Amino acid sequence: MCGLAGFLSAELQGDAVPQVITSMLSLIHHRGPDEAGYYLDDGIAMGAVRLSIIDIAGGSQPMADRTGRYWICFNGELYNHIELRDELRGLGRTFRTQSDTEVVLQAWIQWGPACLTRFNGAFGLAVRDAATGELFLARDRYGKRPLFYADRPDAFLFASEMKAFRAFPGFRFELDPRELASIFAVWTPLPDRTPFRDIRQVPVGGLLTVRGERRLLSTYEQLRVDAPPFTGTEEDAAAFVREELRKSVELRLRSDVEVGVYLSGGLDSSIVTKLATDLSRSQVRTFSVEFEDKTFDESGSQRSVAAHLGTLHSSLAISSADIAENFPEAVYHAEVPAFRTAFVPMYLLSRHVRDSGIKVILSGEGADEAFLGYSLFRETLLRASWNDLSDEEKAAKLASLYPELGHFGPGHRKHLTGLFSQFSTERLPGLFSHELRYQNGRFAVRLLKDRDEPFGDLLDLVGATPGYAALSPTQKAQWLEYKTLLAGYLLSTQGERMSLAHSVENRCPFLDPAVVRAAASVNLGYDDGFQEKAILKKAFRGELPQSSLTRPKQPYRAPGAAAFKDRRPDYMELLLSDTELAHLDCVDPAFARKLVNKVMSTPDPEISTKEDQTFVYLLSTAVLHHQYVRNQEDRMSAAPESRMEIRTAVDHRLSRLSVGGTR
Amino acid sequence: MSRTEKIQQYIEERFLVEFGGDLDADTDLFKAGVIDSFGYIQLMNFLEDEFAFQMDEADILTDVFVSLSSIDDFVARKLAEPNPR
Repeated sequence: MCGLAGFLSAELQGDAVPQVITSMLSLIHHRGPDEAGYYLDDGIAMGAVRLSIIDIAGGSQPMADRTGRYWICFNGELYNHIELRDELRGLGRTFRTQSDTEVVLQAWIQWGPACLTRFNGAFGLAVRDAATGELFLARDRYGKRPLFYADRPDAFLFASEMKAFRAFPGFRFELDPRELASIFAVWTPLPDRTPFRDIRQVPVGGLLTVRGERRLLSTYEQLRVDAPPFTGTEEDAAAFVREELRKSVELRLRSDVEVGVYLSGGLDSSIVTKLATDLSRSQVRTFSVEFEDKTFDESGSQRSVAAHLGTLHSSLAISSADIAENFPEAVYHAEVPAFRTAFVPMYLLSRHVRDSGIKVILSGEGADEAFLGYSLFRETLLRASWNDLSDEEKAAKLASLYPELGHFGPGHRKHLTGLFSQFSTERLPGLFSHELRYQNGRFAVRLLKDRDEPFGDLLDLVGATPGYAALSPTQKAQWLEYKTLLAGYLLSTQGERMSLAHSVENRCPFLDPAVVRAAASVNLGYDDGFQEKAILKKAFRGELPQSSLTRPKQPYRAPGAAAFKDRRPDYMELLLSDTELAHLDCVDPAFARKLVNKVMSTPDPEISTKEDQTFVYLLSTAVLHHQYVRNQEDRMSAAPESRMEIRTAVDHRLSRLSVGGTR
Repeated sequence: MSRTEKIQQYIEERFLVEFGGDLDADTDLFKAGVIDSFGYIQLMNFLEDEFAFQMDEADILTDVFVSLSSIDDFVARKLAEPNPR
């Protein structure tokens, strides 16, 4: 695991080039504290910071092939590097190291961009072809690793985290109101977007080719949520799913350092823990957060699973005060406005994991998307069939939908029937599944002065996606979850941005292409979808504590607005002071003031979910603006660590022909 | 306070909006991002409590609860019924 950064610029010359690339790397030093390196050639600089996990001695970056034509910065892990290495050797390619980075490089030389579909891994990469002058940027198919770029008149910048751009001369961050509207409405940036003007992401499964002034963005692999149905019995299907998961965990235990597991106490992380325990020679270490506030706490389930599976368990207690205190630092690492605070505990947990001596963590992300775990999928099934159901069927299915939400309780059944009737036909083409949820989003968009249709770009995206229109309502819901909430929040803001803030790499066994395919082939083939993840539970029956298999899903959440209200941290002034609030010139001050006043003066239970979310959006946007746009150092936490070991420094510029090794 | 004013005041306080400013009486409150599922349930409960009637299935399934004026018309109709349920 690493971070990468670089730029193409004809204007920057001389000593400024190594200085700027070094500064960019120092801003993402947290991603790879073990070593750093860069490569310079005329018009280009690129470098990497490295967290050494595979071939600790030999895997330094940037790495070149023998001829010096191809240079690579690789952020991530290739889980099938052993198999690919064998295949490439069979084709006559030779290797100098044991690292997965070299496998990626040789695969690129052998197959070109077609190598990307062969990769089973989590990555963002930059490959430079010195012969043609081309630069290739690519990202893994689910968005486990980031890759941002800014295409400016004077330079083309790219990096694993946007904060690296701060070190480029003349670079200024500016919030983009159009993207903020989309983020508030959808909960996350769209696959290729960011909250900042003129900064984009390489979308998941995407490849960006830069050659001179030309830019070609392509999708090397479309997300597939459909698959030919599995044809065996239900027992066969459960065994098939279990075996694919077992293989996935086995691949993700490949590491030269110890691998731990995040154990939330729910089904998915319990399954990962179970398989890791089976496949590890030594006792597995598991890590959890527990909350003082019992509404959010799952420590009982966590301990029960840990005891059942015999792990060495460690838990970090989180209070509202911890959330308030660490929110700015976590937002600094997230770089994107957030609708929940649940990423802050993960920021603290990764610190705890690092301090425990663990660099690599397995987690359960991706299971709910693949195996239809979210209530959203059941809601979609229900609304899609609404007008064909009897009153009794409607009542029964409504009752099972959101057991954790009070307003879905029996007292409100009649009113819900009316609400669902209004949402039983599609209004936003292609977004039927999310239309009820997006009502909350529309409320948050009221934060902005400009309230034009916030779903326009998402509608365009699904409209232009090959095969999307032919998917079932549930499959469309899956597609949207993969492309937005999973990649844009769970894997990023709550996932790798928080773990890498403390140099911990996360791996997601449920996001192996074979597991996703297996899920698609069995989903709704053996049940009607209304029992949560039925086939997955069947696959692990008898292997996990009964409570893991039977308890209703508890969404992972943390205290929201209440945490800030109670503590009133000093940065709340960004919202409480009219002068501070006025700095956010895209925000409607009248609505923002009303919202903040209501949140500050209303008892917690009377604050609705959408108000809570909108408040967290506003606060995180204000903090980001303060840190990134106004460059206020007092809250630009996580100042770059001072010491960075530059292990590789290669300068191929005609102006200074010196090839350096260790410096 | 008139019936219309009561409903308007409830919506303004509960959903942080102002009629006359960003909304008028015919604005679709779902489309404008004012009401979500939780707010809808709250609004229904408010109407039943405040004006002392019970909605029935037929009421629920008509598409009336989308704007201030349609809600107000509905309440007026309910109150005019001989035996409010």
